[in-house]
Amino acid sequence: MGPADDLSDDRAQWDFADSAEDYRRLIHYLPIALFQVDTRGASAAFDELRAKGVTDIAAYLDEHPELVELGKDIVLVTAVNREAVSLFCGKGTADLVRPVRYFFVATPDLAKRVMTAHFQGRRNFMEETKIVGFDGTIVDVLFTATFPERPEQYDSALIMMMDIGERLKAEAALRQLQADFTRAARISMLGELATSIAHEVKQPLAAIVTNAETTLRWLARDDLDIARLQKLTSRVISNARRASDIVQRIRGMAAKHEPERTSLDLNDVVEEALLFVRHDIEAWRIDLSVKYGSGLPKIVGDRIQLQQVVVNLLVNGVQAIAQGSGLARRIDLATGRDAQGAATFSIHDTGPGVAEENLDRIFDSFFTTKETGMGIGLAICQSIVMAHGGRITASNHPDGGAQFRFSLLAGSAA
Amino acid sequence: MAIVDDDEAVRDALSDLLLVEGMSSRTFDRAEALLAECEPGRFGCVIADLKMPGMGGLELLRRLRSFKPSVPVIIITSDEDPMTRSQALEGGAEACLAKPVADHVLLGHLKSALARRLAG
Repeated sequence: MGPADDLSDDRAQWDFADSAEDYRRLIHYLPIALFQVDTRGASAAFDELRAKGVTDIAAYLDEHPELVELGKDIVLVTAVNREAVSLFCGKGTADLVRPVRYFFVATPDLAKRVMTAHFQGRRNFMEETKIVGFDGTIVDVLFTATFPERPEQYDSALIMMMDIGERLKAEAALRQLQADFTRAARISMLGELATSIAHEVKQPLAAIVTNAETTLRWLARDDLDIARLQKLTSRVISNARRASDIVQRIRGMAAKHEPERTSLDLNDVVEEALLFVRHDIEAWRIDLSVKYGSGLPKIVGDRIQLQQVVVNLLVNGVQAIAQGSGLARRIDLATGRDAQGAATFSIHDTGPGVAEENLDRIFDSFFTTKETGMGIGLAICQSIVMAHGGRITASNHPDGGAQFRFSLLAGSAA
Repeated sequence: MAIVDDDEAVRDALSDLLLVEGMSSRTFDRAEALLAECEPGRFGCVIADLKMPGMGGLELLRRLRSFKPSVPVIIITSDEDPMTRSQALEGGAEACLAKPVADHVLLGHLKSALARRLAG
């Protein structure tokens, strides 16, 4: 690799007074591990294979793993820079100037893929992989091989390795944060539903307490009515079970779980989501109308996540009406199928609607108009809907109030 | 007595509690159903929940208190909001009790409401 031939713009080129020394210094101190590699042995072997008519090198190497092993020994590192020595925890460059076998200690199959790229005449090969330093530490790196073309030095290749540990850690932390956010949003939605659920649980609890107290009063009398006592006791049991079911439902919503891919009917999802919110709707004396479309395509996705979306939209609708001062208190839900064959869901409330200037931002993270809102609900809804290959939109209904619609592709994956 | 609550388990439990103390009762799942059968003097006391579909407990309270003679009303509710409690009491309820209701408390209020009525 000599200086570029085109010197038309001197200012853009290195000053070549001490060019060789400049380059040597540049390469030595580059904060990316560089390895110059002598590939003559491999090139010779490849020429032989081509002469024998081998074209699918990947398959050939699968059948002749001994060739891959040979490759690791006959391809030699001839020069390395300072970063390379540091990456492998070597004591000096001499530790690294040897056959390339030590590249592939953590990932033996990588050699096969590099050789395949070389055989196929590809210019570049890149892969995120791991290497093992001489002290045993494993490092995540971006591994790049550049194979020269004539008239460059034909039988040498340039290998680069960049430590990506930090980036991978940051990506993992980001994924964890997203998972935590989703869970926090689910739990904050739970907070919104807590009143509704608490009310539900108190009913069976109230019945249990009263039934048990009545039992005691009967037992305090002289005339024991066994049949009546049995009836009261079995009522206590069935109410306890009812309370337990309600708690199970809450636990189900709060539990961490991996997104599932199951075949779902959107109508079922909506019906189940209504179980969570029906009480709130009745408590606020809102008229609910639900039109279940027929012939909906089956969707593939996560039942709980989609229920979450429906519940969130419903709770928002209820809150909008509760805060509003209008006389009309209605929520209309409908499911259907659109022209593209996607399953659709729409919800219209008779609340005050969404301010025009907020329509664009309404799905943004942390955007909220509620005093105690976290602004996560609709953002999560959007990401769930999009993960199911769908779209969600918000608009103001011509008759007033907000309207939210989402569509989900048939048979789409979460 | 009349018991008005949209939850069947609660209605049945209260009805049986009254029975063991020798009081008969009718149960209704909605305020409207009670009002349809409520001639003045028909019920000695009404025990009602607040949150019900259709007409809520506070509205029912208002109506019952406007009857001549007015009907005593005991409110039972799972709502913990102190505002709700003061609204019920200001609306003329004998008491506003939180679910789950302690039997002796409910019976105590019932008996004093009935005694007041008998006394004129």
